[in-house]
Amino acid sequence: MVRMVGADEVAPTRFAWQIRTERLQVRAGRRLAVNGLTLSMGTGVHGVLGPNGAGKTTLIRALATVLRPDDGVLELLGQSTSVRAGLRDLRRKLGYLPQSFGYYPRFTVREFVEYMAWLKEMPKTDIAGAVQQAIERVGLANRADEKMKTLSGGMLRRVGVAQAIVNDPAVLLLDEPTVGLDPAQRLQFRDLLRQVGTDTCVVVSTHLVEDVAAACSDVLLVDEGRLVFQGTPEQLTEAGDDAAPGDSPTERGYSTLLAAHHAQNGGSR
Amino acid sequence: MSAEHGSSTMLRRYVLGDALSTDQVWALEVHLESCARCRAAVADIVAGQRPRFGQVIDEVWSTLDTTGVPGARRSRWRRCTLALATWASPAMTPWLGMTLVVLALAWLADLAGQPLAPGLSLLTLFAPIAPLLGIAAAWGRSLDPVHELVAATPLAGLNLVLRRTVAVLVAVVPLLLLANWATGTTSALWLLPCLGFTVATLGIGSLIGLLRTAMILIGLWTALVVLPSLATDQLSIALQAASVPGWLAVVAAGTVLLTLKGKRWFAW
Repeated sequence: MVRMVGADEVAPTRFAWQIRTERLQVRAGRRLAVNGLTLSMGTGVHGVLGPNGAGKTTLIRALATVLRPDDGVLELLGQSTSVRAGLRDLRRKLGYLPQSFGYYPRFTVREFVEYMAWLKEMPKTDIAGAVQQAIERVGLANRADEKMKTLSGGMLRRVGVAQAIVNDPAVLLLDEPTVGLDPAQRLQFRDLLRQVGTDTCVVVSTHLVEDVAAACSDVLLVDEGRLVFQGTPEQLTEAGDDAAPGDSPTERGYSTLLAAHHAQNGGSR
Repeated sequence: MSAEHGSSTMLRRYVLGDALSTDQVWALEVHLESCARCRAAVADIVAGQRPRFGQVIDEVWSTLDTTGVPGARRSRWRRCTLALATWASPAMTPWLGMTLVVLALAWLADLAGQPLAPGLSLLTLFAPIAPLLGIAAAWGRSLDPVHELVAATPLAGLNLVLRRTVAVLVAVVPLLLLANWATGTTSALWLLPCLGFTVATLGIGSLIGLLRTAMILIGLWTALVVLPSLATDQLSIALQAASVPGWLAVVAAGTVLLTLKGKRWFAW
């Protein structure tokens, strides 16, 4: 069978950044959880760090087009999300793992990922193969035909990653993907991140500083809905003050930058 | 190329891997994909070279999984369930089940002699709101655990909600008609109100959420129609021929609301 290569597959990219925001404001309930965030992210693995309540989840939900931006610009793959017309095409190229990840307990792993592939409007003929590949990539091939209610928390998390990557997304958004993974699985997961990040824009929100240091090519530090720092993991390490709290250089960098940000804003509030 | 075939020398050189330019190889491979005759010729040449290639071919075969398409060997029942899930979301199953149980009980009560006044049937009283529980689970965070994932997919939105609503109606309405037929009561009284409630739930639900709408409408119907009918032993005016224009107006208003606001399910 000859596979036809579509025009959109060979079309040159028309954008500089997969994700670009400008003075982005997003509400979580009544609170402005993301408040004037300006950033751009290209191909690679971007780790979003920040204390609890910093607006990480709200940011990821807005990037996943689940939450409406209140104000500012949000462009995904060069396309503004305020234009409803292109949103459907855009969503076909998104992968999203929410922080609270629900599932249907009676579905097997394979059925669940197939169901998500169907919702992502993948061509019917591609689904079986893509699902198998996604399940293998997260290391669940031997549990693929078991019901989801029999799986442990870490395995469910990996099913979540599998459904996120099944459509081979151009932008992959993962909210706290390493929660519940044991150390060996975390190592395996970092490998997967690096692999996917070679040709995809991956955004990983996490509060585990060591994950970021190990697997990310780019670090974003967010606090109170604003961007505090964006740079490489090495730059984060260098920013660290030896006196700052933390057990590793990266952790010291994290706490130094956060403390500086607090000191800067503390006076005005 | 598809009109011609590769010459035997060309195919032979292709198999042995010598002195064919890249564009020749490319053209030949495209042709081979659609030409059984040339593929057979290649296979013959390869077979003739068995001592040279045999081991390689065996190795490749041994690493290939020949069990077929993964997941294809599931039972017919399982395949049906999955096909069904593309219409009725799995989150709807318990609510549909509950609806059917309530309707069955109402039907049995109707059958078991008449505790009610003649002309009054529990099934007729409950039939208009029968689809509402199922519809409530069609879209929304509170009843669907996977909602957050669904909301970020291209298939999210009005079409998916309508698809799931159709599934609810298909599950509920034929059973109601059958029950009516079995007891010999008329279905004409509740069919239009049922459609009215369905459209109104979707229309108002696009503004304030399906679950909340369904709860409010079920509450109103119970308080204003079901209980008074039972108390006065008289079928409420809402279920009589006189109210047909009113129900038509409800259907129209719900449709208008749905066309205007139904987009919000796709994105804000």
